[in-house]
Amino acid sequence: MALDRPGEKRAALLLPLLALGCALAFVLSVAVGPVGLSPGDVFAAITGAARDEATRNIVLDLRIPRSLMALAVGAGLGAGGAAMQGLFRNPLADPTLIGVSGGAALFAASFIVFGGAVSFIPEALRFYGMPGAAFIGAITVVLMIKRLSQRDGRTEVATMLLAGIAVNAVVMAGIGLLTFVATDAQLRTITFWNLGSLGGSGWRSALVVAPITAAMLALCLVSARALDAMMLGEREAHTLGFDVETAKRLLVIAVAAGVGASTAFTGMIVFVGIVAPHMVRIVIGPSHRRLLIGAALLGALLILLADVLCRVIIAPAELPIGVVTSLIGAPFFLGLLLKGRREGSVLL
Amino acid sequence: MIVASDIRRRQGGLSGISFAIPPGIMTAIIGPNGAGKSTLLDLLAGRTRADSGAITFGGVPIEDWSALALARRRAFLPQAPEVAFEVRVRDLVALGRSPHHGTPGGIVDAPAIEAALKMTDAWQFRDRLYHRISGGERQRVQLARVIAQLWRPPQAEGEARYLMLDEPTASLDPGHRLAVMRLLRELVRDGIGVVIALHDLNDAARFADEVVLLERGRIIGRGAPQDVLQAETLSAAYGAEAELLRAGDGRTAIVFR
Repeated sequence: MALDRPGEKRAALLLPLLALGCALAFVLSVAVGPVGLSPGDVFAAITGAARDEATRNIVLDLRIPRSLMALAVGAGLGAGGAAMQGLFRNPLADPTLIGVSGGAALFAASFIVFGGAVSFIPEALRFYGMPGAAFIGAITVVLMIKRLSQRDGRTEVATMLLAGIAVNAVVMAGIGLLTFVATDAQLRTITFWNLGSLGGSGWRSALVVAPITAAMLALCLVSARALDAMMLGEREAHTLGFDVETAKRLLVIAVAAGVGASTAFTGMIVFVGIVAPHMVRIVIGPSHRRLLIGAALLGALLILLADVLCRVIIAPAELPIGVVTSLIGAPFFLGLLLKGRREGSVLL
Repeated sequence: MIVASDIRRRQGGLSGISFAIPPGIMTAIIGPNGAGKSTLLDLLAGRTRADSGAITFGGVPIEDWSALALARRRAFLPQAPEVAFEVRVRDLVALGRSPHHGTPGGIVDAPAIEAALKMTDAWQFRDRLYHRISGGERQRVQLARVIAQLWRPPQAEGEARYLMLDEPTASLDPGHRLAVMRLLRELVRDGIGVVIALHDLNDAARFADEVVLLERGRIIGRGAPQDVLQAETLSAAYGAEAELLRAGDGRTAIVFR
């Protein structure tokens, strides 16, 4: 959509603001922690002029990869949510709500427990087997939910949400079963999926998630105009000349890879995928080229800030990030439902 | 020219359908509920495939057209269009220009949208949200979207265009219904072939150049309205006794007893 003047003007304001917010939150996220640092310390460490070895290590080896992870995971959830909502034609299609993150988590957890038994995977690749497994889990669930909840190109929201509940129940049961067979070390790795955490992030995981997220965003942007047309339904989008099947396949693969990779390393972080796109859509409208970018930026900002909160609320201990996003996201979600009911919205 | 030869589709119950739609006229497809009007319209627009038989669009089998190439020359307005998100009227109409992005025609988006909104008398609510306007207004906006899709600058040359509409006047009051039918006549004057599924036989009699009468998936009458819309034919097709009343000014009205 080329011509939404008010939306365009607001986007011209909102998108740079969000980008600036992300940059500031990134610096804050690197500075805040058990060892408090000033932005000056951070800058010095990055430019190789750290006042001591410890500061340098904290900034470069711990904080920056973690902040980069937060940025990538948030951007992935935000843009992934926007893409799924466009694809399902419904603002409630969030990767966690409809079980996509759950499918990813279950497959990743299974890989942790049983991956050792698959002896032909070389040790060096085992680390990447986890996002791979998560990808398969995510894509299975997206395709399943899409098939279940759509009839004649229309999404039956109730079916979509109920299917999500069912998938999440299976995931919880599956992870519960895995805890019985898991070793103590595996158990610790699995436990954090229930609530999500960025605590385990290092360069290795950040450098898997960040490029995959960037690729996902690029693939979604390629399909942005098709997503715009899908507002009218898949059939009408096709009548308008879009190759809807290709766009759908591209989007499902992109979102499954992005959400799968981030879930594999950080667990299920709920509500960001629904809140970020929705808030951005309210301000700048449903044009997906801008919406995807805005939702990615807002998602990144939310996760960066939530992760900072996790680290300061009960310092020196850390809260799981899923607790924070749920506490903020759930009321927002309820508000959305109530508002929809009040206005007899077409959206719910 | 769109040519259908002996097409058959089980879903929708069509069989033995053969006829040609020349550009630049209004063809009304009429018939009782379930006769296959919507199915036929979908087939002619290339939105579904026939089980057997052939449809050619501009001499080329319709399945050989790419979705994009077809979208530049034919627009389709479904019976009950749905819009998933809160969107501004102008943006919805802009979606109609999608097939023209990346073509030299793409640069005429703004005038196309303005012209379409003005033709459908929807210009005054161009900045409002689609879901906040009335049902009749929405129908005009959807009409503006398909008009924008086919719009060309005045005097521009190009290949034949077709606008297909599935009962576009069903939800409109008499005033707006007539306005839409007159607007479609204007489009015909501009050279656009209009193919319209209609329930209102009097509108078909008054506005169409050619009428195709369907009953249970077969064509039982085709030709000029005054030839097809005869009391006996209509009585048989609709299962209710039809009568043609002649008004003082020479026009006829079709009523059912």
